[in-house]
Amino acid sequence: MSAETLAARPSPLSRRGRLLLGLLLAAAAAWATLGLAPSDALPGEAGRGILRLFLEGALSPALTYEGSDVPADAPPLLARVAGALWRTVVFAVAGLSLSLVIGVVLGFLGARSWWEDDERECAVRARARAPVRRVLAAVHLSVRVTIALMRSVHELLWAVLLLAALGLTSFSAVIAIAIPYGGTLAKVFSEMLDECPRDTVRSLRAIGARGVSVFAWGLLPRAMGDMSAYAFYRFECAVRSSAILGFFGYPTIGYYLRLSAENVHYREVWTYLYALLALVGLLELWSSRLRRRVVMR
Amino acid sequence: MSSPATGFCLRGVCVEYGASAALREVDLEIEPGEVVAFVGPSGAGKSTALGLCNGMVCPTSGTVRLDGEDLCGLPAARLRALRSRIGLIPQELGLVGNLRVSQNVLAGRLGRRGALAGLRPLIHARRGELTEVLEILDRLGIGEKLFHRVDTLSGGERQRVAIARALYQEAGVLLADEPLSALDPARARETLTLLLAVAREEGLTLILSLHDIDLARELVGRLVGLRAGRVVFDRRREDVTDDDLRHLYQLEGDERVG
Repeated sequence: MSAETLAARPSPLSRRGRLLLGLLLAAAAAWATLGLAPSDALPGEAGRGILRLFLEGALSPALTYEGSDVPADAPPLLARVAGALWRTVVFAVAGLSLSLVIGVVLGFLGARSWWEDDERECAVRARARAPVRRVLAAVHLSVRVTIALMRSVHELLWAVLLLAALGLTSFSAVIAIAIPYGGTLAKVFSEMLDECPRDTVRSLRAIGARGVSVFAWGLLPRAMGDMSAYAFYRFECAVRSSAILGFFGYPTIGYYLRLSAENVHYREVWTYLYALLALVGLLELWSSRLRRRVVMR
Repeated sequence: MSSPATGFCLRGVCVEYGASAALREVDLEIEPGEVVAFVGPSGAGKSTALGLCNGMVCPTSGTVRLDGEDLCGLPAARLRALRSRIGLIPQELGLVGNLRVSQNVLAGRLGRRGALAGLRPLIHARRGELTEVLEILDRLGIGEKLFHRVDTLSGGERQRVAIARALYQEAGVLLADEPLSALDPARARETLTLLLAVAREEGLTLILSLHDIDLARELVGRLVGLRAGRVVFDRRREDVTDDDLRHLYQLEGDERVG
């Protein structure tokens, strides 16, 4: 008996080994398909020159404009950097504020914990409530599908679509951020709400509270710490997205980065990059502090 | 001011979860203003019996009447109205740790508010409401904790917040599921004494489930012994015999082996 049990010992390599082998094969197949060779990573003669120029720029970022074709009414470079950073943050804040509204509303509708069946409830009442639950379940499903659609398209693709539909307006940039971010927030918020312990939900229901009250008193405050922490994290992401949207012509830092790069003003490029790095670093610091306060308090 | 006390009448109640029966053929009458404790071993059906009293559990067969009204099959609005008159101190207390004590207590009246009117006290409590909450907390000896977050309180203090919530509810009945389970012996006695005093002063019907049979026998007027879903005795505490208890807690043959 015990010998059989011992003999049945699973080999440590059997499953994990197969998985590892599969991953290695997939990687090799991908490299072979693309015809990648390590030598391709080395730039050619011209490329080396550009690379050297670019890396030199890193050591001496520009404090004034490079080149001579600067319009007379252009602000000093550092003022332009500051303005671009400011607008990057403003676009991020506007986009995220809209996506927070979307996230809370759809997160509420996409959560089940405030209306789901209590398994001990009586058959008579369950039957009576069945039509309401069917409606709620249908709403829930359609909200989940909507959330998935919003999320599955990247903000840059939304920007392409919205640029065509609305033109290069501030609003199109804000919506381009708000749609995918709203979807992501809604998904995560609804999961956080559904993962909350249900004891308060049960005890509030037991004293006659309605679904909305149960949500606002029993679920939302419980999930609030995690939800805020996640929202802060998404704000950092929104700043990066907002910067990149500049490549489409919106007046965030990406716009100037692209202009300078196209004019081969690499020292200016580095000024913008350093400014962006500093901003993201500061936000990271600030939000991790806030997160600690909200979650640990 | 609490609602007038409420009485219960259970007739031939069976509760089944899937194939297993939690309660079988239970008949029980509880008068308004009475204090009753369900006692018995784990899994005897004490919590299920409590759940019947506010319709959180519905009988598979038989009826549960609250002041003559059958609790099962009521329309949602009527059930909510009835539940708003039944206070509950669940075993896990059901408090929200990151809300203030005041907010947790204010939640007691949610059953009587509409969907939107229920949100207001969470965001902004009126002065009058806070005064009322403070009076209750003072009575329970934790008045100074009014604006503390619940997760900064001790176990005993949380227990009192849950009691305060039920009192603020102005219910006619108080259901308490194992209210002493998380407390040390001294605190358990203190809490039970407090619950009994509150019920007496307010004229509430108080129904508890209790693990501590000695404390129940010492303090609670009427004991209902449950074993494997059946009522094995239902007596005034002075009439409960040691034989009753032996019968109540005796291990089944196979349980003893296990």
